[in-house]
Amino acid sequence: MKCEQIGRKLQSYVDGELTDPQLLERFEIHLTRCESCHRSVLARRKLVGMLKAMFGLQREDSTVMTPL
Amino acid sequence: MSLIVYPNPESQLLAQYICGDSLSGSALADRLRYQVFYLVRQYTSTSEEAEDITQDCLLRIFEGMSTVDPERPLYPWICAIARNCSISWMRQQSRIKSIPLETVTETLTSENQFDSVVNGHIALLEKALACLEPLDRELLEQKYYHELNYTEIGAKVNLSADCVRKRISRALDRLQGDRSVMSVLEEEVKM
Repeated sequence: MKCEQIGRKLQSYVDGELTDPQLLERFEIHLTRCESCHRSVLARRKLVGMLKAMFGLQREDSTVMTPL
Repeated sequence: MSLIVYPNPESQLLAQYICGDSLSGSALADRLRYQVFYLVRQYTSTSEEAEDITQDCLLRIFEGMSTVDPERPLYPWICAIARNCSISWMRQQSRIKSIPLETVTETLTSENQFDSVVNGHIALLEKALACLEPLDRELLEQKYYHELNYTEIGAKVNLSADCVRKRISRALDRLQGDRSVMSVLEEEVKM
């Protein structure tokens, strides 16, 4: 698998939508060998984490949180 | 046999973990760590403290998982745990923390500086987000806060699931391509 293909499938991978086991295996093998793509995946996950935190904080005052 | 469609990969991993798949539990912890860390960082003065609280939150999340319905949005529940853990930690700190009078100004300044950095990260993201089309912002919020899947979002905004997926992917590419956001991501990617 080449870096361009990784780039096209990056979002599906981060969203957990790469369900074809062979494709998933090839994708992850590439990540173990390619530092650049590995960092892209980490960065995308981080971005999604920041977005979730940001939306959560924006609604923190207006949402009643479920008590533990 | 009925196929359950989970709102997000975390919920799917949660369902597998509840069924006894410990590998799914590890994968879930990895995915949640980023989200929880960013939430609790708002309340702490150092990233080391945030990491400690993140561990505590993850423990509490895993302890409470048997009571969670994986088919319902997971994120509001995680937000609540992160917030409650952080507030407990802050209360504990306020009880045990004693600051020498002569260093009060210095300590408060350093904590305020840290808060500014974290709030700065979120502000940068908000600024980059504001440059996107309103529909793209709405799609991101539906996906990453309300945890709807592409089909559900598509039904709300009258677009196909595939179109929603492409728009969200492009919107994320744009955010990731923003120079300020990129610098934050590169700085934080070690976490």
